[in-house]
Amino acid sequence: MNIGTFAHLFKHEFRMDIRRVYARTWFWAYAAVILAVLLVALGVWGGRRGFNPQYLIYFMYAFPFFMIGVGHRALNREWSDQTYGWWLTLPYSRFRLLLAKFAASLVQGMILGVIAFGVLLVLVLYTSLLHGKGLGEAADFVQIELQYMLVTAAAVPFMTALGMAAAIIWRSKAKGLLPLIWIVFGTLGNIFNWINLYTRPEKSESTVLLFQHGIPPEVWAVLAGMWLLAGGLFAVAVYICKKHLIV
Amino acid sequence: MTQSAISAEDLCKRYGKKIALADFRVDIPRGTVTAILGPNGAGKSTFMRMITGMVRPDRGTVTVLGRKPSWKTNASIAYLPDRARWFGGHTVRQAVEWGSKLLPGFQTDRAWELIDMLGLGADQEVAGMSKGQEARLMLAVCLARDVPLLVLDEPFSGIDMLSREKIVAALIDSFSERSQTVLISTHEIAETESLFDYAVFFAEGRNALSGDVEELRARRGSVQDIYRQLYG
Repeated sequence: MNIGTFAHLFKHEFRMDIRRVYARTWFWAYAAVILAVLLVALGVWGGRRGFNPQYLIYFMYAFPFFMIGVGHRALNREWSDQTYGWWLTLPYSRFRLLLAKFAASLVQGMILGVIAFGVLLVLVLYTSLLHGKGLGEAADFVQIELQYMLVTAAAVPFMTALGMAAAIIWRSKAKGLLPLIWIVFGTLGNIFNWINLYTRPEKSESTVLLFQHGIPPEVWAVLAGMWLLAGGLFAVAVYICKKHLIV
Repeated sequence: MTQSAISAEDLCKRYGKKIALADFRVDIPRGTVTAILGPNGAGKSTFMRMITGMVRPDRGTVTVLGRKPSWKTNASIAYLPDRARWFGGHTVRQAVEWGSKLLPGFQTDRAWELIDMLGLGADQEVAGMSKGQEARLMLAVCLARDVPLLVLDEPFSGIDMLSREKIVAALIDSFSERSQTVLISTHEIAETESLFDYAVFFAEGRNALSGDVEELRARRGSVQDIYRQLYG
């Protein structure tokens, strides 16, 4: 593969939605207002039982689903923006075109994930220091974040590939397969919950930790399996884009 | 014997119940500026998409510059898609950069000449452009490529008269400098007739008539007259 042209394809894909978000002032206004409200609320009520910024980590459950949207949009915008004619007639293989989109979506996701984890850590630090709890709580939170990062790292390539595959299948002769894909996804989607239920003792204390007694070995197998599935879904997307696309 | 730039044999393509191409045959000579003409839904865009490998025929064969269409042959084709828009987040400068990095044969100096000629500025944002300005930018990106085949699908669609005039002037300028094979699909026959050496008339997915424009004129009148005879 010519790394030079791939780098340009990647750069093009990476910038497309970043520019869009960057230009949306209402997005930054919402982000600023939400952050200000959180800082004030944590300043007043933070540290009380039931109002712990650690619980904000639960929003990370939505993150892999958000990545379906990112992957889907990376493909779908070529049709919604009417640029698919330019994209599909570039003198590069479908594999390379789709890989650039997949890689750009993953990097966008990773950056967003790191920003989200960083903001959460800052909020936990802010609350701990403001309410005199020291740095111990923040150190514990880093351990929690690492567990969520692991699950996110396992799920994000799969979810991104799923979003891309769904978008390309929708534009193809294989459109009828889409419900089947969502059914399979719905079944597999809760795999980490199942592992946790299986490995969790009957009576366990309330915690935001995903794996209370260390990371079970099954998780590593699931991680590898999900990456393989992501590769499989990506291959399906390339095949359909090559052979069965309707334009 | 003149070499064919594009040769189609018994091309068939269906979209569900709708037949886009039905046993379509044509030989388009190299080095000609060819008009692709016909009413909406006659199969013109499907044929152009087949040339770029975007659409596969259900049956029949098409050869482009002696090869089967694929992403590899697209290195030799500058294609302006039908009803296309340019990437909304770009400025004109970024569009030229995109072309220079990703399109083989793209000549940056030529692109800037064309952009200047078509009345666009480097820092203009695509998001704020009129349809005519955007069409001119897309045409500049295509014409800036030094490749053997130029395929323009409806370059004047929805464009105001002044933009059309600028585009025709850019086309004349471009064709006089290069020995490319050019295919232009258009409904604006009156404004473009002088450009054409060869014409293909599509009717219900078939080749209703094709040939050298001078010969057609001698036999049947102007291209506009032939259009009226065939579809009127």
